[in-house]
Amino acid sequence: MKKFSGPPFVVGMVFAERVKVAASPEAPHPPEQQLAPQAGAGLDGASDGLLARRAADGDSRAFEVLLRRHLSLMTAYAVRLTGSRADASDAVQEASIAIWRELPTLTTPDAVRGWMMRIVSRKAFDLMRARKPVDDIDDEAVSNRLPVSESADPARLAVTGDAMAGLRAALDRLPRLQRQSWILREVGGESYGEIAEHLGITTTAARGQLARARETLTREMEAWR
Amino acid sequence: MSLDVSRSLADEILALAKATPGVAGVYARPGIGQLSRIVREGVAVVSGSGSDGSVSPIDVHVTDEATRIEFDVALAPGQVGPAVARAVAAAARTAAAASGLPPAVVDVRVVSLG
Amino acid sequence: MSEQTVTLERLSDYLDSGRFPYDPEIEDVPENAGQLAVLQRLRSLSGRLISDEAAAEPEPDPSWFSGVMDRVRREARSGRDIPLLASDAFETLHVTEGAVRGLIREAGDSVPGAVVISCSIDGSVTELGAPLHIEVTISALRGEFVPAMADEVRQAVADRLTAQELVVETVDIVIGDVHLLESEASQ
Repeated sequence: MKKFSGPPFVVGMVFAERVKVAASPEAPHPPEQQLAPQAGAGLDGASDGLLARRAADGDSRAFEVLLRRHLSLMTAYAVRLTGSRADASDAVQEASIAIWRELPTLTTPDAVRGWMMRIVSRKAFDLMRARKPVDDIDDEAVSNRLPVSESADPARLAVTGDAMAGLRAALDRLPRLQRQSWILREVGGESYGEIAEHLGITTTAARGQLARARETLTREMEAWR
Repeated sequence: MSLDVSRSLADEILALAKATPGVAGVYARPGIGQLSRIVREGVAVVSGSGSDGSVSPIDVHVTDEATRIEFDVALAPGQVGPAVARAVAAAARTAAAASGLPPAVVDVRVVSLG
Repeated sequence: MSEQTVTLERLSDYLDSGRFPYDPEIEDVPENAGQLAVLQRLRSLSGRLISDEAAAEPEPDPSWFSGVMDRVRREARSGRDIPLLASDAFETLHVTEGAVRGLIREAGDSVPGAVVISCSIDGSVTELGAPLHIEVTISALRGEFVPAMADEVRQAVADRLTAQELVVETVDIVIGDVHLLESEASQ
């Protein structure tokens, strides 16, 4: 990494090894896979890491590009977690503001996407907690009342062999806590501790929910194969 | 009464600032000043003294000794910030002098250079 | 599944670790290896489920989006206030650090092959006319002659700030990383 120092109007160049902090502690050498726009083409082609660092530096245009790039994923994730389009839209809105506010604290800008998704889940659960009464914990009963479509029948799916439809149906049949735990873990990559915090249960209980979700899904998956 | 005068002065300064070449937007200064102004002008808003019922981005605070005027401006691309800021401040002072209020003290901050 | 000798949780944790270090108790026992494969498939299907649903998401409502961006701009990181020369004692004029950073980004981006990553402003920033020390970290297009590019960025930044009546003492350019054009990267 090179640092070029000098007074602004001097043509000569001081070549010196950079001694201060590198842009990212994980990347001591400049990563060359970074994408950036052609000159004058704006920030649309810039890498996530570059956009995150600029947004952290106060560039709202870079933030807008970053948000547009990941908005649909954030929304789909929030819909899966909340089970409601309206709630997902509100959660993603709050998450977007929180992302802007918290970007200066992000230590690994290249991993901004996963970090953004964590903020989405945090805001989704904040919203659900604020809206729903506490007795909703009895999720097995709620889940059992949900209508299960004909296409969700595992035997039928085994015939069609559509694993994606099978997973979708199996997820829909899971009790709420198990379903949310699974999505947080397998899509969001969140830790048992983080999942427990979102769901308002102990880490042990979160492990239990995930264990049951895994058991059901692997068993059903056997049937699709 | 003095509230009405300061409100119409705020409206006049807002129009002048917006009309100053190079100015792209006029905003309230965020922070404590803005809060105290909302509290202060809340009375005016309720009684309908504000021309459009809203709180002006131009803070005009009249005391016995001075008329304190404070606001932020965003500039269009390619402008010389200090020159535009001085022009905006001069326009505000001229308007304040004509209002008959105590001598003006103006604070203008450039928040965007295009 | 009666032959399965380890829990699904352990299999899942093993997947999380990237199947490293190699665990013969899992890999060498067919029932366990089979369940591991099922878990792995479930995981990739789950990821694909969300990305499929994301791809099917409609374009965001423009009013929703502009509402978010309005709030973002209202919370602009304006930083310190840098004083500007006023006509007399009845005027206080300043420019925000955020506005100056925006100008620095614009100056750096205007140089072909350079994209500004971040910048910092040091010196007695809140004193009128104090000399400023600017550091600009840029991403350089691979293949460009970097010293010349750094010089151009330095000159562009100094010119723009000087035009704003700011006193620029030094502009240091740091090459934070190197980037490719999109067309090259996809090859």
